[in-house]
Amino acid sequence: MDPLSLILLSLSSIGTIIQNPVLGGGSSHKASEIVDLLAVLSALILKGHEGMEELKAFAAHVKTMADDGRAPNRSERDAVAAQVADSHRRLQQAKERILRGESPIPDGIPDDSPPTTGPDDPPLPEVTEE
Amino acid sequence: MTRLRRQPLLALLALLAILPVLHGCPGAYNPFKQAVTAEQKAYALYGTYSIFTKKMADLVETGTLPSNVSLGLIEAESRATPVVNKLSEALDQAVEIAAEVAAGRTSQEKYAIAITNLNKWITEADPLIRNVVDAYKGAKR
Repeated sequence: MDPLSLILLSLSSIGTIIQNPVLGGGSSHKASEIVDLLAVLSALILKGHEGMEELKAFAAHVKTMADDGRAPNRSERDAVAAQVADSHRRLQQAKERILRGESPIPDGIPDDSPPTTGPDDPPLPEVTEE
Repeated sequence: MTRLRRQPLLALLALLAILPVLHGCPGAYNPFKQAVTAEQKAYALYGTYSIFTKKMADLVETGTLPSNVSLGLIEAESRATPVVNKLSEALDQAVEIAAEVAAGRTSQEKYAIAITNLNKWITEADPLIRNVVDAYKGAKR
């Protein structure tokens, strides 16, 4: 088992123990908040791990740049600037949605559940392959 | 109230993902350590920041975080981005002046000034991140 999986399993196990009175935990409001916190920590660690892989690739890119003795070119700098600006825009939009009391999930992002229709809804169009 | 107290901790934890890059992370994961010149170091910082703000946006948009945690992350990004953008501007300026020097259109002194300015912004960004580490360690104690 790799260290990341071990950490996530540990956090999950702690959460289970805290929630379960049989295992010596409790079901108080405080305990549920700790479980909530552990879930968030797990998510942050997982995202951090994904970030590390991208980081490794980027570090290799910078090393090549240093080996070649060159400065970052315009397209490389523009690509980073565009990503920083895009992330900033997304975060600001998420902030506005949260402050309006809405979900931070952007419009147009389908959820994981399959589309359903109510009894009065028109049928979903059939998808045909061209 | 508990949630409000833990918000800074979580925000710092997320930002902490950036920190191994600069402090104590193995070289293979550390763009800053791979860089040699001021331009490369600035680019390494800037690119690292872009990777983690993108991850931060992805995380917030999942809708799985409590609202106050998401707002804490967004606030942290809002505070850091202006400094990072200044770093980016100084990088652009240094690279452009280097090209002018190579073409014989401007003096080496002008390039030296641009590099001094770039180093200033690199130095400006570094303690900002170190403060986050210290605050995180304090919150853990």
